[in-house]
Amino acid sequence: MIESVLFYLFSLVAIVAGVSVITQRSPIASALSLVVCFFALAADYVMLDAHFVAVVQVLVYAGAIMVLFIFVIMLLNIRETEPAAMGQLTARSGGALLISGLLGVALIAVLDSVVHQTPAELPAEYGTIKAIGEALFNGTYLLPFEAVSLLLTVGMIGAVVLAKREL
Amino acid sequence: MGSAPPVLDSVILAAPLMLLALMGVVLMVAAAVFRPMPRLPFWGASCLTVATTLVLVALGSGKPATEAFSGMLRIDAYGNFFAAVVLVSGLFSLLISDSYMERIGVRVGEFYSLVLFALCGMLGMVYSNDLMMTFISLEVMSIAVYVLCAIKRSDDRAVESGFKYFILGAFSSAILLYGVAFVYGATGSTALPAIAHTLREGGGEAAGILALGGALLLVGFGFKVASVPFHMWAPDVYQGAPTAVTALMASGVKAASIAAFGRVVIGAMGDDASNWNGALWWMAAATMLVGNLAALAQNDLKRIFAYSGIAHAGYLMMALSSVAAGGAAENGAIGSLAFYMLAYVLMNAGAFAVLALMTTSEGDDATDIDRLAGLGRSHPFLAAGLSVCLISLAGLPPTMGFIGKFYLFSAAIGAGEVGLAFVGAIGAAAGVYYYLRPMVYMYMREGSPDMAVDGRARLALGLTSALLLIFGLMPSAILQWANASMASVLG
Repeated sequence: MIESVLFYLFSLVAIVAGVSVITQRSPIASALSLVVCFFALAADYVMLDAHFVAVVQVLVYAGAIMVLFIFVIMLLNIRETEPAAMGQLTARSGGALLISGLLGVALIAVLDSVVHQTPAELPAEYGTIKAIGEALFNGTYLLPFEAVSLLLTVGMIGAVVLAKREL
Repeated sequence: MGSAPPVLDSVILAAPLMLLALMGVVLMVAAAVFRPMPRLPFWGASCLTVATTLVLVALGSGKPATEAFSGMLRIDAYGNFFAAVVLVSGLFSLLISDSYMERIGVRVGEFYSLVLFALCGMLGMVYSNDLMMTFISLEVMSIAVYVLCAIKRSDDRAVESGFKYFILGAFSSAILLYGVAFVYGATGSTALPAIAHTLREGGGEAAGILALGGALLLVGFGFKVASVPFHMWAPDVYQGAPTAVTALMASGVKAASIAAFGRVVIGAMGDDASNWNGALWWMAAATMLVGNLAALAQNDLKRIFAYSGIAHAGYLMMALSSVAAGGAAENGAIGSLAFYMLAYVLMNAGAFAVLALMTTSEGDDATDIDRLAGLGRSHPFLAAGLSVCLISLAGLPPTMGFIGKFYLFSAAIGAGEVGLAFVGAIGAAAGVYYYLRPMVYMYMREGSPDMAVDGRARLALGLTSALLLIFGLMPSAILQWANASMASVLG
């Protein structure tokens, strides 16, 4: 009971923060709203027994990526934008409306097909850090996991080689 | 630590990959410590690494196929053959790169580190038995090669080439990954044997989703091997990139992509081949025609070789299509794909060894075909070596390219792909013209060509042209090896 109340509470926070991202005038306020949205989503993941995803959500999205966003915004010195005149249907806003409307219809159709099913019983260790650690370091996915770290190393070397002023 | 021994077994089985990755990291650290880069130790260490890896692969050949890392890799004759091909291409590219990079004024230690990482990614693709591993290896290779393309930052064309390759490559990788996701959705696995098993049991749950996934995989691989209609990037990227990098792109990247493609088409989708073959047929036919015909109008040697690479991707896809169509297993020519791949890598390595010498005194690439005029008189060795490579590319005897094309076309006809073989023959006939045109310039035009002096490039050229002639006259040993390797992925 208390879990589902909390779930809906955090979902509400996420939605309000999400709307705030696109309605704020100042880019910094938008970015901070996004941080709130990420934290609320992380809390939702915890409610859904996806502990590892929750931790990664906070570390990677709310932590690293948002810091990057805010740095870029501050360094590029983006000004507050003038709000577009409401009620005018330009080609661009019409296109955006059309696409988001279509996506919304698709989303509702998918949700409608899922929402009436009773969720399957999860294995006891599902989504825990232990289960994921077993799969990554002791099971099938050891090599891909290590190969991804090689991939990131290569990407980093590449960025330095191409971007550093003097090599 | 209960499961340590099996992991150790896997590490030993995958020793070639481990060695390349390890030495890549070592050179990366060394490049940060030793500045400016001491040329000889870096070049020597990377050549030695690739040569040692080649020995490791050779030591592993002849053993029965085994799986490593819970089925992520499959160490079999097919993998070993293509790993050897990729490493040979890497070795020849390294052979020409030291003095070439010095001529164009790039002295960056990370160059060698990135080459080793790219080779490691290629080996991962060649041995990979799981779509997830294929994708990650492909990205390791691609990202290293994007950077290598743009490593001469002062050259706008090189930067443009790297950027173009990066943007389009990133798109194609995303499409490939999307395809992997759909195949996973339809069959419930990313492991190739499990996918093959599901297809044999009746095609999985959703044939539409599977077909969509297959089509997206085809697009992704089609981009990497530069097949029509996903070939538009190749000429600009090949031309702009440093010649030593182009050599690696034209041979190693293509070989690894074809090998991974082959594993997916033959190993996993083999029982669904009818769906694949329609698309493969048209792509192979269009690639052979467009590549060969577009090359006719080019005057820059690197662009000619880019289109020639596109045309050869078409021949290799024809082989893939005929092996996947079945029937090829009986006519003894299933090794044609592997055999031709080796021939292609050797003739490209030799040709690019000459192209790497065509730098101006300002350190720019100048590979216009006019600059070959008079080469036959002033540099008889270079002219003779390049001629052997060109004759082999054109598919004329007594070279390896002739034997390769012969087996390729007979395999296609044996598998019932007569129409495709006919289209390929038209393309190859057009190819003779643009491959022989540089020879006309070298031997029949007057001029005083200005070539850089580099003993190692001459060594690379001498070795490749000798091998092309030897294997052209005595192909049986390589053919047996090639047939055995293809048989191992079929079985």
